Amino acid sequence: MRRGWILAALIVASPLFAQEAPVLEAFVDGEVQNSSIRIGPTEMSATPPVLWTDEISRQGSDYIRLHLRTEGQGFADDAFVRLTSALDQSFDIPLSEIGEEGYWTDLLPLGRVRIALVSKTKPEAGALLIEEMAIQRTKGTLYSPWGENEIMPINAQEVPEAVRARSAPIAFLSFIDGGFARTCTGFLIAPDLLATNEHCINSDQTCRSMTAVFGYEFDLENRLVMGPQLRCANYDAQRTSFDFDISVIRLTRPLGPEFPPVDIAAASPSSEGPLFIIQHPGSQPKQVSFINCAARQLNVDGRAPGSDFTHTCDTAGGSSGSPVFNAEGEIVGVHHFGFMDDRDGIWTENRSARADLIATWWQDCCSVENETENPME
Amino acid sequence: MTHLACITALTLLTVAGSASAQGTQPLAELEWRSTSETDAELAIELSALYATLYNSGNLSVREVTLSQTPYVEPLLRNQGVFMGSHFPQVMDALMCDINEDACSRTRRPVAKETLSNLAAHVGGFAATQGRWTTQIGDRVKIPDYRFDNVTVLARIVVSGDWTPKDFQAPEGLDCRQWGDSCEAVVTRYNPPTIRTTGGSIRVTVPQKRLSTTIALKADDSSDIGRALSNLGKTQSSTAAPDFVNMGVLSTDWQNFNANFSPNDGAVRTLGKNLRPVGSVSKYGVGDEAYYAHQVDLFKLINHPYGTEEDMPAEYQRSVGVVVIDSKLSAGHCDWPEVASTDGTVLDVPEVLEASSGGEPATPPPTDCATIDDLALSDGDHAAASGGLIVSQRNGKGIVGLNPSARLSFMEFDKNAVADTQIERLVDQVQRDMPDDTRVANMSFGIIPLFGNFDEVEAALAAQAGRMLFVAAAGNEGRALDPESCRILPACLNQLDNVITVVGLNADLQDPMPWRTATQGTNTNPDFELGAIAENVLSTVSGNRFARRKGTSIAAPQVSAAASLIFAAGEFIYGDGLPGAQLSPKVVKDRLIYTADFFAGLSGDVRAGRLNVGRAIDLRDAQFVLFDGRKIAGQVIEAPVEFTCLTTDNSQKFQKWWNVRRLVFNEARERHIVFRQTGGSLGDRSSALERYPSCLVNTLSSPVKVRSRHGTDFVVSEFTFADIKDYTSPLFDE
Repeated sequence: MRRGWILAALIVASPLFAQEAPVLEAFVDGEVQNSSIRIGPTEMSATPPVLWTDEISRQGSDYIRLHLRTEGQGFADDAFVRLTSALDQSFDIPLSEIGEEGYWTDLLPLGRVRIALVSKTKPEAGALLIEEMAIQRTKGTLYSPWGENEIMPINAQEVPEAVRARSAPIAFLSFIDGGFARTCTGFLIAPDLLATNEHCINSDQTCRSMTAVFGYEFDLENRLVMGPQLRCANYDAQRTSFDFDISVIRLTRPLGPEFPPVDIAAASPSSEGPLFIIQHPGSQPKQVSFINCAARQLNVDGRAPGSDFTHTCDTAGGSSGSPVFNAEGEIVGVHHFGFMDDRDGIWTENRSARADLIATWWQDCCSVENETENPME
Repeated sequence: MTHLACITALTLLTVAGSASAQGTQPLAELEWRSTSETDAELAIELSALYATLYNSGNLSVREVTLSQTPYVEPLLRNQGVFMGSHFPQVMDALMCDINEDACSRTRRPVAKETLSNLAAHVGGFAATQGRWTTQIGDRVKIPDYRFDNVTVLARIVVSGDWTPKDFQAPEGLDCRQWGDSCEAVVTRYNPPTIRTTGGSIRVTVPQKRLSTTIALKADDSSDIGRALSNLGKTQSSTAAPDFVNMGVLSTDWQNFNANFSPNDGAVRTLGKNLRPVGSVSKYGVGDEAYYAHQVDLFKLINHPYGTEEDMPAEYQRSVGVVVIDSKLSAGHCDWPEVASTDGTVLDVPEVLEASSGGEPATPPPTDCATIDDLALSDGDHAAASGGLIVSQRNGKGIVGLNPSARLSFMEFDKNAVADTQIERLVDQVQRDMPDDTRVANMSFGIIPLFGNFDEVEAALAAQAGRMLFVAAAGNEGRALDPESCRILPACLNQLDNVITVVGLNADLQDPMPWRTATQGTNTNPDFELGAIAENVLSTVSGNRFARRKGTSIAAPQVSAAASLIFAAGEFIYGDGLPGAQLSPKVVKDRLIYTADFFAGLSGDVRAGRLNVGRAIDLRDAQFVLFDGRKIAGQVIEAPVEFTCLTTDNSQKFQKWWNVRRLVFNEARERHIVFRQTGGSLGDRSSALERYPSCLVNTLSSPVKVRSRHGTDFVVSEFTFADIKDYTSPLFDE
């Protein structure tokens, strides 16, 4: 109820936006298809432990995710599903973790995955089900509220090294919500704490399906590379602020020192001067906007009075939850939505929540209890 | 086996070189050399050789006609397979037992203690005189060995007053290997001796000996077999022998063989005559550890290895094949030496690196014997494509479809964005392809985001004079048509040098497009050929093997078949023209029109299922008649033109020389015609057209085909209406 009131207030608050709609930039980048694949005893090999192997390929998709479920009994206690991605990364998922409720796999890049079902015993009636597939279908339209779109891959030659150096803790988020495959951006604020927009991750359900992919980017030779994927360990409403559109979630394990967290406590109240946003717009591998990227109007009303500032940085659906840095590399905001003229589809303004307010909220609510020791190298 | 015989066998086995064999077990190929100084000894020595080979199951035979005399002894002498002063009875008994239709004899078992001497009996029975019924004109089996004269230095006994001047070189003695005349050699090796003792002395003289090559089986229970199992790196270069089936055997001899390897017995009996031919070891295709897993594939695509037969020599010519696939950093224990197209030799299998995102992969074994169905990486994909083509006959795992191919890998980065992939593919095909490449296997697909389709097309077309590209149709399970086809390189198959392979299931009689619970072959009525896409065993990284599926493993089957056509076609039809090459279009067309037709595949694939045997039988016109007869040979008479009863006037008159294939479609009771469309003399550079509905209307015209049967020719005659299936030779002569 409160969300609807705030958004309605935003729409009518300013004559500038009389014909414009604010668009939260959690991106619907694909569809969830009912696949109804059932691997029962007749599909399984007679010779354990490798009961079944196959491959799923969706040409043209940047990635897919599978929703697995098991039914019946008879698998060995340590049975697992092995997924080997197109990047030759292997993920072993114990069947005990899949359960009858089901499990969304990690993100499987390039739309290809080889699957193996491994169990020392062959069940007489049990089965592995691939009930649904989230298939990346669309590329977000990159837009600019300020001149031409000048967003570029993080490893492009034009990107200053100082900018690139801030990119490690920033992750691509994929989750399932409302029957759609959605994407956002998130960033570490502690080795196992990840911040993103509240409008991205706001429930146990979205948490369970979320995977945070670090290092999802094109390298210098334009090859897709991926670092670790971590899952959302739990969602805690206490670590969520609707007003500042921020959720802090705990990951399943802490990341190492090669992923230095963004220091939210050092958030600068000043968003003057050039800015840059490291992000995953349009579900794409990591990009950065730093050309013609600056704040325009400070202390504008967002979900809360004076909670936002407007900026000219290029973003797209999927950029929600991206950290906005100033020239010193200090976080000054968390991007969360933009405005579009609903008559001709032209984007006119982008907005970030102010990082200094988020820092204060975090300090008050949760920072001490959520401190995490850096893991040993 | 005695210690001495064991040492002999092992000695023989340790010499590298080439040898030949076929069948289910490795063979040791050895030189047999006579040692006798007299004609009487030679006769006994030869009969001992043949009896030993027969008793151990290693006697190779051929059939000849009794043309001048009804007796076998003069026949053997005329054929050069028997010499000596007399014809020992054991020889007559042996000839009788291998020609049971023409001879009988009294069989008395020999004493048990005699059995171990394989030269002293025939099948466990004493040598007895045969009762022959042969007449001039009959055909009989005789040993199939070719004897050469060799000159050796031997010590002989002479009287004490012998001098080198007493030596007289018999005809045929050749002492060039010692760099001199035989007289000079005798002088050199027999200097005057101080204080000779009178009486008789031993001197060194050159002597003529007979030499031939024999093959001994190395069965699992034999010492020779166990020694051989540790070898296996050498390959055959000669034709395989045809061992005669054993006739009647005594009970004692059968029992003896159950406990002792007759092959070891042969080594022991012939030991003093044997020497290495340089070598040993050659494995037949049936010796591969996982051959049984491959038989289904061989039969489905009618590969000669389905009958365990080796390839004739012309197919063993080395042809350059490039596998364009994911990066591969190591070779495989079942491969020959292979390299990347940048020249890097892939020689040391390496353990897979742990993945960065999930649990580390299990380190693969390195024992060259493990089937690991968890081998699912991109590197495994490349290794499977290459290994299905080039795995060796070495008794270690599998045998590839063309082990003689010269394989190299070209790294193709499937992890780049589509348009970057395309840009690099164009560069690689134009710049990095080795000059001697004839076939490139492309088991991948790219859907371009923007343009670049034309650029790839141009790059592949530029190689139309020398290379055939074999593309996998892809595993998205899509029914494509020419308009919707946007997968590279599969959808470039309209080029003369691109052929696209659809995946088929493993149903021998009624194949269908391959499908699984999660994927399936793309199909397109324009995609040319189908091959097997399920349960195909091949090599994977880390010296392992795995069962593969998908069009990625179907395409290499066609690549291998194409390389065999290049190998044999350029040998047979090269006519000595240096560097003469087959046009890739000719090879592509050959693969299409020799395919197995199945009505159930209509609309999914243009031709049908790959048929390797039919495709590589290049010289012969191949006929299958409605009465079931199969005839292959040279067409010496056929109608220049035949007619189809059809409403299509353009197809009514078919020129014989233009027809590449006539195949009867049972569902329609009409023939399908594959024909070249240029001129009337079968111009192979013209388009290959498929016409699906010819009711043959030329019925009584005679067709005559001359076929080879051994050394003879026979002419078969039938009418045109008898033809159910006809495949033309690669070229008309």
